[in-house]
Amino acid sequence: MSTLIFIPIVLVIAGVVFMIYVNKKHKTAKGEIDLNFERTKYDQYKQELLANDFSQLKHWMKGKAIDAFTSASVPQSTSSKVQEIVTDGLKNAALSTIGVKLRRVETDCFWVLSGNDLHFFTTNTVGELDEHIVFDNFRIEDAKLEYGGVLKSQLGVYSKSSEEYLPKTHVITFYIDGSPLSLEIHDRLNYITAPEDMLNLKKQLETRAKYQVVGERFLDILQNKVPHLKVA
Amino acid sequence: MGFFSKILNSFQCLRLNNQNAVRGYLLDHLLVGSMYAEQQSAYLNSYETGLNRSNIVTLAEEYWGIYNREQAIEVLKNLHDRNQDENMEIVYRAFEDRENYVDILKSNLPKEEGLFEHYIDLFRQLNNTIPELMEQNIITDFSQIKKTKDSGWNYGRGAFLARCCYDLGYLSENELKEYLEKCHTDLKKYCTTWKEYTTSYIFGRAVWGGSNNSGMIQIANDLLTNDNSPLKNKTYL
Repeated sequence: MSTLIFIPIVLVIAGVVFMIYVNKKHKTAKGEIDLNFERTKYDQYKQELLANDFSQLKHWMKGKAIDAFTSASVPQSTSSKVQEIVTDGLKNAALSTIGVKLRRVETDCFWVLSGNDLHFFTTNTVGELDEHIVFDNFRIEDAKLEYGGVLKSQLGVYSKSSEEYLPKTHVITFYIDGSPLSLEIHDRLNYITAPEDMLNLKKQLETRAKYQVVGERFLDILQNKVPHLKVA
Repeated sequence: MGFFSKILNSFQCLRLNNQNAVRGYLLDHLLVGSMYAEQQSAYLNSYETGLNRSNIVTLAEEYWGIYNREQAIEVLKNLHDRNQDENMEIVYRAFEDRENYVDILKSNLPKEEGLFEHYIDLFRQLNNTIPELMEQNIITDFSQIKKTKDSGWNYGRGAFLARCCYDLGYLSENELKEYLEKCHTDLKKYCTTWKEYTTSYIFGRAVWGGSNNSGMIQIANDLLTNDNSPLKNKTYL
């Protein structure tokens, strides 16, 4: 009997052993992170992320205060509606002006709360600023907020065991001259593992925790600012 | 015919009336309407617009709802009074004070439904327009607009529309002259130079119509720099 037959067997056993090892390491690293304790470091993490991983937000805000920030997305339904607006003509000029800026659904988006205004940023495929839309206090006061569940565009990409890392969303609906316009607020900043951190599980989990701590506070701060903006 | 004459006129750079030109200080009064006149490819230097009558009727009736003398007087008065709108002062103040704009607008604007929203929309337009005009180097900062406001746009439209109403027989020549003089006198309260006038007109139109002001910018440049322009070599209003 050829020894070649043992090669796939060895590979399968090595794979299983590696998975067990990684899972164990993942559990250990995860056990070392106390999210409640991490939440006490909100201010520190916010400044840290604005100085490093999300420094582009400061640049885009051109010196305006950043009270809170998180990731965002354009729901497919809004994107489809925008397409209708563009196809059918400009029946609602104000909505069209905003809507045409929201045709891209797959790239990174951000919310920034600054004073009385909500800033919505979209990016292009290389992460550069694409569009900047400002929703003033009067638009926010008229808006409606509801829970949107786990971010649907990312379902299926992750395994069930990784679902805890998926962003949960709230949908904020603005009324532009009477027409609704919905956008998603994520409960954390969008985390993509850097290539150099691929094998460093501890660092991955620490970074995820920071992104969650900073992102999840956004909604509280917004609701404190605009008290009527309670979840429907 | 009207359509083709308009196209032909648009190819003629700065239309001037060589037969019946107005001169001196009366020309200055007339030039308050020069931006709108140039938009319509009308004469810049005479009381008569030189436009096809059907075009003037369309402009007066469809764009301004003017079908008779009474309506003409009402619309012209309304355009003249717009710069005295105190609520716009509140909108400008709110624009300058981002920290407190909500309080400023809520506490000072009229509460009537529709009216409040009207001024909020103008506030939003201001937020869109001012950065654009700065990017296009039309203005360097908001203080320029705070001084001139949209006076050029309001008096400018009034002055040219009055000429259209004169062409249609809704105003006498004396009434037209009086109206133009009043426009010129009141415009001077806001704009010191013709450059400020054209900038104020561009600003007013941008607030009204949004982006895409390249046409207006081109008209303003032509009026201020073209050798044939009656505004060339005129600095102060």
